[in-house]
Amino acid sequence: MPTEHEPRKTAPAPRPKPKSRPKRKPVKFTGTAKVTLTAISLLSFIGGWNIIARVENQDAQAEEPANTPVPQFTPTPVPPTPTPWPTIAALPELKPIPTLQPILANTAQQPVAAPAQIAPAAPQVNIAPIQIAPLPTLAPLPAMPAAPPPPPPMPAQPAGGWQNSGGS
Amino acid sequence: MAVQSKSAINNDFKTILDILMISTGMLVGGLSALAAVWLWFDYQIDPSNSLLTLLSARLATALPVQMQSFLSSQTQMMGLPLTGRTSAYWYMARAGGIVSYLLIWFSVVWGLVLSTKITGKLIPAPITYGLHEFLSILAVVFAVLHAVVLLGDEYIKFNVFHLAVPFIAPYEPLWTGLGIIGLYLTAALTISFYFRKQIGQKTWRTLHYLTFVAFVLAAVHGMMAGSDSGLIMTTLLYWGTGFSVVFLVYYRLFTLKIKDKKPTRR
Repeated sequence: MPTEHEPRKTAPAPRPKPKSRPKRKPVKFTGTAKVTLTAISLLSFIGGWNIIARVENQDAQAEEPANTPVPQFTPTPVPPTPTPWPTIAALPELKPIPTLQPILANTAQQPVAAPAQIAPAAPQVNIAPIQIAPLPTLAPLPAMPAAPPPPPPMPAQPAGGWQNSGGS
Repeated sequence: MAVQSKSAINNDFKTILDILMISTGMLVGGLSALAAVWLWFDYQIDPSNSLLTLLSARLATALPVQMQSFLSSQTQMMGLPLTGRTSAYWYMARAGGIVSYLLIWFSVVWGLVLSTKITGKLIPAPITYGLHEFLSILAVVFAVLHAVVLLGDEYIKFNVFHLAVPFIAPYEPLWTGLGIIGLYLTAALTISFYFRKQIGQKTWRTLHYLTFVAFVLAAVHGMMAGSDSGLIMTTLLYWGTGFSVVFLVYYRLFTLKIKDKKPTRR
């Protein structure tokens, strides 16, 4: 039971409402940021791929001439070495080739080598000289007949003939 | 009562709408995936007469002639068409590996930026955290692409087991194996973002330190197995990224020491 001396319990005075402040948006790592970051990573990946390929190609091009040098002709002195040549068996002695005796009657005016010059070791074959009968002579030709008279001149051709057609 | 029933109806409607949207999304996604697979097989059977080639040719005709010739020369240089006999798969794998490594590096850097508060109020923490998380997802996606693309290369002839089981690959088995472990670790750490509440903040944080191991494994894999590591550009990339991470880790440890030395208020 409350007495007179005791302070009366009263309902607490309602607090004044705090002035409504503009709510601050909570800072967050948003979806847009995630998409942007993913896109940047992908671009870096493709860029890296391109750079690596470029470097590889450059290296390959730089190494190519070193690997396949231009062939240069450098003559190397070859020392002479004794080569054992194969020996060929000696040829059998050749038999003398028979030659015809020159016909002195027909070849008197032509320069003919002396028999001694042709073959000194050639055996002499004696052939009897050939006797040729004298050629018969023909009778003289008869006189040529007189030339025929010249032909009369050609008549004039009509205009527009087949020779003058101009075609279509 | 009337208000309550109205909100219940609203909730039901929302649920139905959600289910409908998810189903539609799954259907569209599935059909797109099937279409993509079909297009891929069609392309592999006869690249010159495939639908993909015809479509791209039709698209190309809409471009100006100069652009067409430029694109043609670029695609030729990049080893396309995408068949095993060309170097396209090998180039793609290398580009994918480098992009994946850069994404892992970015993710690690943003994680360190978040913990060191080096940027102050310049970049809000939720954005840094979101970036850190999303970059690691992208890194895993590109790392998987880097591995899967190798299956198409006919020169080294990788198979699924070579890519899934560490240290049995026909090409640089040790360094390739380290890369595979790095990929598994990165994937596990990325998945752990979604089980943070279940495994607890402390465990998650402890597990998160493995990120540095994953980063080192990726860097070693890239430097030792990557055929581009001989280039000056790539060497600078590895050294630059490595140095930046070491610097940020040192900065993090330094700031932690300063905090410990500060007298606490009573």
